[in-house]
Amino acid sequence: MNFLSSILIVLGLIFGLIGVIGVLRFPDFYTRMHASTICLTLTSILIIFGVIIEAVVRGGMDNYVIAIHSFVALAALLVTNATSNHALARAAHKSGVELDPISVCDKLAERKFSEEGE
Amino acid sequence: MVVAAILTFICLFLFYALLSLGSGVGLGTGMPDILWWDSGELIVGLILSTIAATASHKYMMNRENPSKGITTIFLFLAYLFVWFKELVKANLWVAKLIFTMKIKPGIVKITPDLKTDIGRTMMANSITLTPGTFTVHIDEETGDFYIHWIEVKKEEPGSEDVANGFEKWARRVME
Repeated sequence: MNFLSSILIVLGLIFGLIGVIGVLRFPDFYTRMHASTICLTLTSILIIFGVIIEAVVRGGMDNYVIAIHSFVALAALLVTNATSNHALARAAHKSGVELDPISVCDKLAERKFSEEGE
Repeated sequence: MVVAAILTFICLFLFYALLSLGSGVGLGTGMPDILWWDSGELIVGLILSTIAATASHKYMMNRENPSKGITTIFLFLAYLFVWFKELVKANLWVAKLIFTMKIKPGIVKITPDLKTDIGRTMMANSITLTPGTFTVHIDEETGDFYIHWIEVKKEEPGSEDVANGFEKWARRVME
């Protein structure tokens, strides 16, 4: 494997590890989601770019196909993960998951939910 | 109307071709190959994109201003670089917070001046994908974003404090 892809993939794995440590250390659901966002953005971007560079360096049609498909997968991953993260957070807040006591404010709970369900 | 349908068809077929790239190299349907594609794969692609284009061209093209689509694509590519820079900065920031644990989480309200659904979607997704901030709720009538922020610097922040410049870009690209 070439040097640049090795560096990218190892960096990605290090950020993934940091994200996992964050998920374990943070106090409540919402702050844990910030840590998991590291895993799904920088980690996946770095690892997939490592794979793309390796595939392009190796050459040949088969490997170019892998490179292009990895890129499409990355785009799909980022769009769907953003949406699902938002849906999770919204569902958690609606079903009454409490913020940790160290939180300083909760503007959404102060605002009354006038619409039922939606 | 016909132009919109044909443009949609071309986009859909190119995307199908992208996804089925390489089908002619390995195992195919046994039909002859055209460049890197299996010809059976391409025929299925033609049929499917025709069906999809007739059904969806009304929603895919901006009929009031068709040339805007091209500028949107280039602006969006430029935006990706800005976004990636912010993403790396935010990742390093949250990685630091994981070790120091000096967090002050809270849900704050911002009111960006965005009118269209697609502009709001783009901004909310950009905020969610940046570690340190994510969108919990959007009030569709007033356009308020309720954002969980891992380190609340101000309890009444402006859009610039939470999402560095994303509002400006969302307005420029999508509206």
